[in-house]
Amino acid sequence: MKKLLLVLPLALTLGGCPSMSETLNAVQLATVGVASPITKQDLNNFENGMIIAFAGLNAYKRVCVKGTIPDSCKDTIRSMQVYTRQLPPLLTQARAFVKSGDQINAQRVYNTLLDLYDRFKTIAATNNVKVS
Amino acid sequence: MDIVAILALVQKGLSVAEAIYEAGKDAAPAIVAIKDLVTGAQNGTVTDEQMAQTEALLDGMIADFNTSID
Repeated sequence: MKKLLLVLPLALTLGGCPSMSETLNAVQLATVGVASPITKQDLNNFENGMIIAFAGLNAYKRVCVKGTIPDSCKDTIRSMQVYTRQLPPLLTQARAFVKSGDQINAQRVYNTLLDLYDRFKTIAATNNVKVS
Repeated sequence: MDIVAILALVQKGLSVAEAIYEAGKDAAPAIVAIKDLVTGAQNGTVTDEQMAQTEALLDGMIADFNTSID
């Protein structure tokens, strides 16, 4: 299989907020497997998936700041930030490696990005932010 | 990517956009990203200019989320 699509859904339930009581449903990150080269298109798809994810996270943060959901949301956000703050330099590296054709390092960094995503997704789940 | 997978992606992405609207935040970036995801999946090609735009947008959104919350 040349390409492998990993679907990483992220759903954030904003409990306690009347206007946001429904789920911020499934954000999917399109990624490639380590057994195949990461193309510019693959990286762009991945980054577009991240844009959708962060649109949801920023919406969650916004209602948290406004105080329309329980104050514990701040701790949840801080916990996720431990991992999301590691993303920028890794993204910079991934972009450089993909564009220069350094596939070994591109895939290594890519896996680290996926691991970070999994970690903040897990933290979200353990803090009553529904993740599915 | 087959049409079923694309439609599922659009459906789920739009539900995110709807929630973003409800939060009073501009959903345009998410909608553009959904469009680009589907277009990219269909075409399999991306230009350097498109990559630069995606990168700038994502960097900004991550920076937004990463700001301290008090």
